[in-house]
Amino acid sequence: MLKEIQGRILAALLEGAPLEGVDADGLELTRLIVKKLRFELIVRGDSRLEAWFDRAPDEFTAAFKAYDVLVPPRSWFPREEAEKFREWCDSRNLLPPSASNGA
Amino acid sequence: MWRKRDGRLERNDFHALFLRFLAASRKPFVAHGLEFSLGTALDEEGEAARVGQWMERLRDDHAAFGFAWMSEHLGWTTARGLTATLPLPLPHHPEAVAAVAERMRLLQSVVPTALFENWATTFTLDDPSGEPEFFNAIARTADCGFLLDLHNAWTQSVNFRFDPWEYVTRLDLDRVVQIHVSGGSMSDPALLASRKSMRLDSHDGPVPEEVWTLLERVLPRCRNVRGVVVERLNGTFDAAGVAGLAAEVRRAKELFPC
Repeated sequence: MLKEIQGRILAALLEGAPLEGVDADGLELTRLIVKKLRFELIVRGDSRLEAWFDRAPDEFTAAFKAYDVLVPPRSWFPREEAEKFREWCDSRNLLPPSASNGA
Repeated sequence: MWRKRDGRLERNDFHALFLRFLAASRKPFVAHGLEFSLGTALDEEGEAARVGQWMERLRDDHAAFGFAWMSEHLGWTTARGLTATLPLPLPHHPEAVAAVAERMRLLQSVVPTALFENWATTFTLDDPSGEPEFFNAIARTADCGFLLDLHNAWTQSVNFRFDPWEYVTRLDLDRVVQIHVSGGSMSDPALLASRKSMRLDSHDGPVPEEVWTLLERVLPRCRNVRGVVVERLNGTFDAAGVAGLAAEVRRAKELFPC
């Protein structure tokens, strides 16, 4: 029972699946907080990525939004999540030279 | 105090820093965790490995710091190999009680006094006014203590409209070992299409008077409490705000001399 409920909650939070019997506003707010925390992991996890966000917030945010949709969240360590984001951006040529490993 | 490298948990830079604090201060240390995910289903794939890694780190830390007690957030953050980072609510169900109690007993096998912290959530799976009985059932099953977060309790009462004092006093207060007070803020109405705003346990503001009142009233009823902590998130106050935070710490010390 618990495993099934937790699966449905994750699907609601990460994929926007409906979750019956739960307040939609409260669920949506949690969904946004989960995204915000993931964003914070990344900028806290790598000062060059944080600098990228400071310098070009729209560009960084667009990359983050795409990453957040396409890459399931599997880490809560800032450095690890930042590294995954960096690699994902790099594989799509989204990473500016100032944020690359060679910078 | 940990980081992940090559799939393994290891000490991070804060570990050495805190060891220096320990050596210099000779004060007792307590541990407070966020991501152990007490409520993940016991039959979740990979749980044994995940929990095993965590316990290995905890044993290492306890050997180094000799924690007076430790605490972890109630809820779950991890399932199906995915993480939400934020502790999520559990159903008030015996299976959830059993899952949390099993993890609490594991923590107690390393740090004998282990506590769980009552949650603040923006949605619930059951009637939120029934949370004290759910928390009591876990504590009774695991024979563990509470970290009573009064801002969390007050936040639940604001968001779900019930009397916070009645909620707090339905808890088994003899099990309270530590109390948290903190502040938070209301969510931006622009975030939701309904324009609804909910209180968040964001630790980004001063402790509300309602929370101080709860602290004043509940302390005499908590016979086994050993510590009160004022929580404030780093980066949410500037130099001018330090005096206000110091005043909050003094106020807490006046209420709970230590």
